[in-house]
Amino acid sequence: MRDVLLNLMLRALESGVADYVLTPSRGPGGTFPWILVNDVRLLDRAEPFPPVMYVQGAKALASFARSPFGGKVLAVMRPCEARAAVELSKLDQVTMQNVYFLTMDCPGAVPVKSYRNGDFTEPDPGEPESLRPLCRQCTHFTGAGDLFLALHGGPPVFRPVTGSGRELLETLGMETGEDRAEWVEWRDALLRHRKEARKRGMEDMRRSYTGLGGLARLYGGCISCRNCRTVCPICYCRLCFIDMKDRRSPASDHLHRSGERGGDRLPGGTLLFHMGRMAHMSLSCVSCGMCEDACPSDIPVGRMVSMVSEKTAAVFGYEAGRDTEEPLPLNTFEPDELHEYED
Amino acid sequence: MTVGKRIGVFVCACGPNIADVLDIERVAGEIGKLDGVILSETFGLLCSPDGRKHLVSRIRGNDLHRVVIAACSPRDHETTFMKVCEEADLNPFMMEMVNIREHVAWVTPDRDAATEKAVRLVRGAVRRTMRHEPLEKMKIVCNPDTVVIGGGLAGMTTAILLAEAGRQVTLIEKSDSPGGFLSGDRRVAEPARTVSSGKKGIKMLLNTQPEEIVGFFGNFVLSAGNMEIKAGAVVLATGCIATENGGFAPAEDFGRLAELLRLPLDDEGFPEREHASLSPLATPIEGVYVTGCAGGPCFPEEAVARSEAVAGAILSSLVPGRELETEPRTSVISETLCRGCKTCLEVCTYGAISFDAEKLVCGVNGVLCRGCGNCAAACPSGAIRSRHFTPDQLRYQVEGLLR
Repeated sequence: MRDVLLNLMLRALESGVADYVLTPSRGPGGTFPWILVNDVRLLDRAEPFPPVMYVQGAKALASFARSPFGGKVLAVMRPCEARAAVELSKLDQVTMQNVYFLTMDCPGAVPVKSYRNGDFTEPDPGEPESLRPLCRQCTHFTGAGDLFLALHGGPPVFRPVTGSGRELLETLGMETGEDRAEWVEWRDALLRHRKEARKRGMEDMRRSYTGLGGLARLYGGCISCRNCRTVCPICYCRLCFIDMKDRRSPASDHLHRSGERGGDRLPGGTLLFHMGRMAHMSLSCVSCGMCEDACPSDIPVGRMVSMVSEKTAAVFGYEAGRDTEEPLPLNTFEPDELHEYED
Repeated sequence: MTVGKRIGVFVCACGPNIADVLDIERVAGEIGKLDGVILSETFGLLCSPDGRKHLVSRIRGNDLHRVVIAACSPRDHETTFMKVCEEADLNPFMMEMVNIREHVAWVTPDRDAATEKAVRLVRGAVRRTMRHEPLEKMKIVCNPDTVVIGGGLAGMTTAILLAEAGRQVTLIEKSDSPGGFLSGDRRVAEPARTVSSGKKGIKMLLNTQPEEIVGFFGNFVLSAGNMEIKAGAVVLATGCIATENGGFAPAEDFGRLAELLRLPLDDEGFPEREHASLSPLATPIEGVYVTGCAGGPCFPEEAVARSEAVAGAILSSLVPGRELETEPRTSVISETLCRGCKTCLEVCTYGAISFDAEKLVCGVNGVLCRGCGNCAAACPSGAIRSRHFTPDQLRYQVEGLLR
């Protein structure tokens, strides 16, 4: 399956359909850095199916494609990465112009920790135990981007999603017919299974961390490293609200609190940070799980944000990463809405 | 500029309005104990001439740097007390009003609860005022020109009357000739000749429709094609059409025009008025008038009468040389923090924010900004500050309220 993807990258570059390919590669010491390939000889290094996620693909893309550029890019990434790019484009942090997104039936990823310890098996949707917790309950494992590689129900085959994906395949003289029945069957079965897993997972979270006490317990182990924010593809602010000088509490605050309650936990703002992040980015959360994978304290931050995201998005009938034309709910003024929350 | 911290607090009895419901002496007494408050006292009716004189002398006599006035709604008397401050040589933005009438006396009947609530509200204001900074109002000279949209009988009449009084008028007509509904009728022949002649200060733009309108009374900027038309007042003379069921509706493109102006419409799609009988041709947006059938169907003679009235209203309010004070409580965007996501652009209802495509950041036009704070609240990067509503000021106010 790697060969099939490599072959398409090669043909895209040689035919001029794309001038550059953005793909994870095999780096030194078993790492998988993103590379922007122009020379076909470098494609040998490409590894479109790394077992782990080091840097979210949308973040790699946004690192150079903030504003329109010359030349066409074929970005090969996982569905959650392409969906994060959709969200970033709505926030003007990445341009979708001249970028083709090629995704695949995503096998999922294993936790970075297991990978580094050599304690892992190649990701396989059929063996969820090896996958990261959010991958186990991922319901958007296929069909993202402009086109994707269908791996199941027969030999690997490229499938168009958007008009430009179809065009790309046609230009390269490839079939764009119907989805094959075996693949549809595979997808539906896995989707059922994943929805079930997600439901169970969310029920677990709710049971374990209800109320302010529950949240305090959940985030109690937070060491304030802010890894979750750093690796998040959606967190794009230059300076996070939590780090702003005028949002930091003055000494009098802490002294007062200490006086009122007998003591004050320091540094403060742990819950505020996590709640603030949720308020700021949960609507655009694509449940990629980067935050949770990066947490040195093993806090299920990703599952929490993902659960909150599902609920907040449902209020607006919104789905992160679905469509570049779907406006961000918080940027859209509707004079007549949400009456159920009045009074 | 550093300003001292001598705070004076004045609690208004508002006749019996406030004093009957809560213990204003206790409020003044409690507040007098706070750090920085060097005087805290009550008065019968602060907005009265005597009250205003009293305030000026107390502010001057005690060298107050900051003032808190606990009285009625700022909507009633903020301007009054800001003027008092100016008279006393105190920057008006060093004053904070607390509404202990509508927010306390009129809604909290229990005397103790009302008094405690008032104390907290005033304490919040005292703490907020500690963080106030003087702001300077800028003055811009209003633009005495008018732009008239719609070249029918009503629009032409308005334009001609204004031009006869020596004003510059831009008349915008979407079709290729003036006349409107009465085109070809002898009653519009003479005005059509006049507006087409190019004389008398009327500039007519045919085949033109406004694409963007920003600004406010005295300072509108209308874009059409590649042109930018500046005017102090906007007149809507876009006519109406008969509907299939025998009624009338505004002209086809009127909805779009109303959207550009953010003009509220009634159920039939005609613009709302400032007051149905007292101000029937002024819209709720200051400086935007409606004439002829754009305000509802009428006969030609009525259209002319409406246009005369609108021209009169403009001539008397939009006087050349009149100065307008700009709002200093505006938003500012930090270029360093802005990520250019344009969220602020979406929520700004005044068209005051633009995107700098080279720097990839947004910026605020201080003259157009009305300081509503929408953008500051919406900015996910915290790159926008609302002057006079800074996080610091709000934080201390809330703190004072809660503790």
